[in-house]
Amino acid sequence: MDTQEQLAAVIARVALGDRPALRVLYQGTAPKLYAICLRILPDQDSAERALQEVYQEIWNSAAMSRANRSSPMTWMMAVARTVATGHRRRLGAAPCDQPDCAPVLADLSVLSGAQAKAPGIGGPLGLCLREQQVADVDMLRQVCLDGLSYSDIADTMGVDPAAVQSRMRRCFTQLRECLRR
Amino acid sequence: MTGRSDDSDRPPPDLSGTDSALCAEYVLNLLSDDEARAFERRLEREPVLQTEVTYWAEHFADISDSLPEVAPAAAVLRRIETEIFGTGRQTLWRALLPYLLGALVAAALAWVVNTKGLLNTAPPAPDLYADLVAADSGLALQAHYAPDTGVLTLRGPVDDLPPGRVLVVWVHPADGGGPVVLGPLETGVPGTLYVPEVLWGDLAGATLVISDLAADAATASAPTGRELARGTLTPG
Repeated sequence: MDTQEQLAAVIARVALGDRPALRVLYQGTAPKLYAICLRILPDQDSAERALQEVYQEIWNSAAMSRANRSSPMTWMMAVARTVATGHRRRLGAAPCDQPDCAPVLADLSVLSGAQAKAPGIGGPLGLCLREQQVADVDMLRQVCLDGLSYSDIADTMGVDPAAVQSRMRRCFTQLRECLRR
Repeated sequence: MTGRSDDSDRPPPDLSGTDSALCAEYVLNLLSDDEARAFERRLEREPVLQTEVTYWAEHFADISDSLPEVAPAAAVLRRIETEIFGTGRQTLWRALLPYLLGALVAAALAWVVNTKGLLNTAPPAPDLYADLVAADSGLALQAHYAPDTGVLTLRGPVDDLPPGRVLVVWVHPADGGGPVVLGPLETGVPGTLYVPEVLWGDLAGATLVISDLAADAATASAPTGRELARGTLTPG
C-alpha cells in the first residue's frame, strides 16, 4: 500500500475519534513535525508545547484534511509550520541561532549575482532554486524553515520590509515560471 | 518525501503572478491577519486559488522535508493524550495499555518498514475475515483483518453495553498458543484494533473471541467476562 494512502487511512480513523490511531499517527509523524517546531522555536520547551498544539489541531481537524486537498503529510507539516510560527511570533523569539540556520543576510545586493545551491532540497522546487540567486534562496529558507516574517528579515538587514516583500514576490514569480516548465 | 497530491501533478492554473505570489505568501504565513482573512474570503469562492495554494504547499513541503527528523521526548505524547483525552479513563484501558503499546509500536514499526521498502520482497498476505457468532443469541459480528496495516476492524449490530462494561477482543492463535488480548474496543462496534506484529503470521485460522468485561477489571491473561461471540479468521 502506498505510504500516503496508509497515512490517509490512519488520519481517517483519527477523524472518527479513534484514539489508538492518533498514537499510531504520532509515532509515524512526530519526528518530522517536531523537527519543524524545533527549527522555528528557540528552545526545546517551546517546541514541545507547539508540538502538543499541533497534534491537538490534527485531532480536531483531521476530518478537514481531505478537504484541504494537499497530501496528508503536507497538510500536517503545514499545521506544524503554522502553529510553530504563531508561537514564535507570540514569543517574539530571536532568529534561529542553530548552526544549520539559514545565514542572516547583511545586504540584499551583496550576493545578488551568485547562484544558489539549495542544499538538501529535493523535488522540482530544489531544481528551480538552483536557478535562483543565493540571497533569494536564503530568504526563502528563513521564511519557510525558520518561520521568519518579512519584518524579521528586514530588521536583521536594516532595510524596509517592503523591499524584502518585493524581492520575495519576484522570487515566487520566477519560481512559478520555472516550475511551470 | 511528502508525496504529491493529485493537484500538484496537474498543469498549473493560469493565474496572474501577483495572485500566485499571494498564494505562496499565504502558505508561508507571510500575510498579516487582515490580509490572510481577506485572502481566505477569496479562497472560498475561487477554486483556482485553492489549487494554487495546494500547489505551493506541496512544493514548499520539500524545503521543510530537508530538515533531519528529531524524536521528541516520550513525555510529549503523554501530555498530548492527557490534553486531548483527559485523565480518569477507565481502569481497564490502563491495565491493557502495555498490550496496546506493544501493538501500536509494532504497527508503527511495520509502517516504517513498509515506508522504507525494507520488506518489498515479501509476498502480500491475504486479507482475513471472520463471522463472529454467539452460541446462545442472534449476535453476529464481522471481523476484517488487513495485513498491510495490521488493523482488525469489527462491524455489526451490538446492543449498548451497561455502564462500566467494555467489549474486549481476544485471539487464540491457530497453532494452539494461549489466548492473547488485542484490547478493548474503545469506541465500541464498529471499531478497530491494531494487532501486535508478533501475531501477524498466526492469524490465518486463529479464533477471535469477543467478550464484555467490567471496565475496572484487573489485567486478564485469558478471556474473561461474558463471551459474546467467536469466529475463525480465514482468507476471503
